[in-house]
Amino acid sequence: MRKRLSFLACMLMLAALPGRAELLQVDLSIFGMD
Amino acid sequence: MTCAHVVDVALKKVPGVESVEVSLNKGLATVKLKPGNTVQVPQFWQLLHDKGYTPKATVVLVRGELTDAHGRKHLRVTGTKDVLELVADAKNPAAYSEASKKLGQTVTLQGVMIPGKNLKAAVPLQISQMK
Repeated sequence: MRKRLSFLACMLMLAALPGRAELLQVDLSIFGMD
Repeated sequence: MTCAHVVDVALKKVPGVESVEVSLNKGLATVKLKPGNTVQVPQFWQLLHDKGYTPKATVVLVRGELTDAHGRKHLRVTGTKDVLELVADAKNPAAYSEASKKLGQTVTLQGVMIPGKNLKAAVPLQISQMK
């Protein structure tokens, strides 16, 4: 139980970290595709 | 095997890619990425080049922290250790001005990146919209 709570606490801390960022979507235009 | 299928399969192999949709008519591949991915746009350009295609203007939706260095605005994409230089889009300069007011904040931006001759070289993100 204690381990599970620690794990949940870690997950919450990671989720709350500022500056968490990444690419969400990329629309690639491609020449020469048929 | 069609060209679209080749592109589809190649893009899906990139770690962090969630889904790929390829439109033959538009010459467009839409790639959705998983949360926490560490993908960089030049990776896709190099991959397409390796498959014999020429990548062109790429519309990017990206989340990151807005920073300022020597008067130039950047978006720090912490998931990739990537720092994108931001420039105004001539069609919508207001988006850049809006972004300039949110320094230090984490925002979601849409913009265009145009590959140079060296596909691995850093290119700026022309901001067209703040989400």
